[in-house]
Amino acid sequence: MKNITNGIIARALIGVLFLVGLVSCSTLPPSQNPGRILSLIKALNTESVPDLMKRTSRPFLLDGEIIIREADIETLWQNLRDSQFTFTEADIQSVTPVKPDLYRLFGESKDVEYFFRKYIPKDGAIVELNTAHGTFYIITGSRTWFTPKIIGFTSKGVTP
Amino acid sequence: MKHRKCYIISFYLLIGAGILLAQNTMVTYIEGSPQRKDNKGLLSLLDYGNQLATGESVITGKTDLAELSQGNTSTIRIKPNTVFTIREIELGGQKEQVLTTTVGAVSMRFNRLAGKEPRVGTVSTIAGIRGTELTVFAGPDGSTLFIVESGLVSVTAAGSTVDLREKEAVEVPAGGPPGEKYSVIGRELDFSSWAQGKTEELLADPQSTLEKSVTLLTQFKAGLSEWVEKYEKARIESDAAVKKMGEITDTEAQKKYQDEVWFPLALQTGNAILNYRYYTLSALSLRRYVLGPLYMQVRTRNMLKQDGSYQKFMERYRQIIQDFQTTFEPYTNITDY
Repeated sequence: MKNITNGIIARALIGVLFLVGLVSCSTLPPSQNPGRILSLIKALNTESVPDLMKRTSRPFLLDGEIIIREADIETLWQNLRDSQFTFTEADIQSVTPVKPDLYRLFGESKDVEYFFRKYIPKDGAIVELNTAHGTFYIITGSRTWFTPKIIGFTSKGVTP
Repeated sequence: MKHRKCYIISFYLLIGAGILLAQNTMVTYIEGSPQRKDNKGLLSLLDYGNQLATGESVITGKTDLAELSQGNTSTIRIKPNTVFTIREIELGGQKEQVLTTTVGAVSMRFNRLAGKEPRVGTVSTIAGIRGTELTVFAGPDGSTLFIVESGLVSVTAAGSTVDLREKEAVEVPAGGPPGEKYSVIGRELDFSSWAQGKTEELLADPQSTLEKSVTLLTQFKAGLSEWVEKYEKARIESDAAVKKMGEITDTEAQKKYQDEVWFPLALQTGNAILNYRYYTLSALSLRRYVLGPLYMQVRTRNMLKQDGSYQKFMERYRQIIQDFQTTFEPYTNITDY
């Protein structure tokens, strides 16, 4: 009898968790969900370059420059791997859905302004990320399964 | 006001580009998933049978291939990792199509009997061709290699011209005149190894590649300023002609004035727009496919060691981009990006 009761409670709990999961899924897209964003960051820090290409949106925004060619985006990730750069000790400070003026975080040029208008999907967000190498702003949007894609990034203080 | 300006420019461009709208280019073969950038600046997958108009681009990835056909006049084979754009310029009073390899490798075959051939170019050069089969390599540093299989190609850059015949090649550095031509008989020229060599050169001295790009940008700036001036002059004359036309009461006299005075002025205005747009888009291509990737290389290789040479590069880069923003950006629109 006790086993049956425990089973019912366990199933009810799983049901509740499932419902909570469903509710959170429906209210917050992966690109704005801190848990999903951390999954992306973990993938960016550990996965191979071919896998990273699948997580990367094209065109890509690096600081104020639009990178379009597949070969150039591949080089970008390969260089970061070769230089042993990762978003290590990542701590999300804020997640802000993309608004018209936010492009200024990446630069004041038409390149950046139009990139934000044309290439960032409706669920796009800017993630402010503290890492061991400083603060980065990452653009997330769209998704591969339950993880958002990276659309661009810049960092505080070192961009031209 | 901004919308009105757009309409006026579109109107003059339509007058100027009327002939070439009909000369569309059809996609006849595809491997992989090449992309098309249309005249609205939108990226989509390229498909069989797509008609590409002047101003549109094909962008191939590392395993992609695309073949285009312009009726019976030419076949264009776009190789992997390439950006190819169909552009247009007015030269000596005539509109000319320029098949532009911005970066990457493209082979082209033109039918000698099919009439006038278009021009062939890269971000830094324009070449005239006669009944030709040729390959164009456009390097990551803005340099170009023309290789002629058959026919004749006249390569012009920085005011110098070199004529190439069958099995001859010439390299043109970014911003400089063509080098010495050489024979390619018995030499296998492969784009990947050529581009790799160029990448190694630019990474060994990124500052020098920046300066070569500045030379090119200066040439584009001169072209832009010349044609903007011509545009302003033609526009003022054209506007005055419109005003005068409105004052003519006799319908026949008005029609005569329209055909003989206003229309040539409107055409002149359209051509001037075409040419200043050509120089603006050349500068934008240089930024997107040469300067941008160079910046990416320097930035991502030095994320954790930003020494003096890195800071020097970034400082110079910032100056170049600031100059780009004041010089070229005002003549661009959202569809260019």
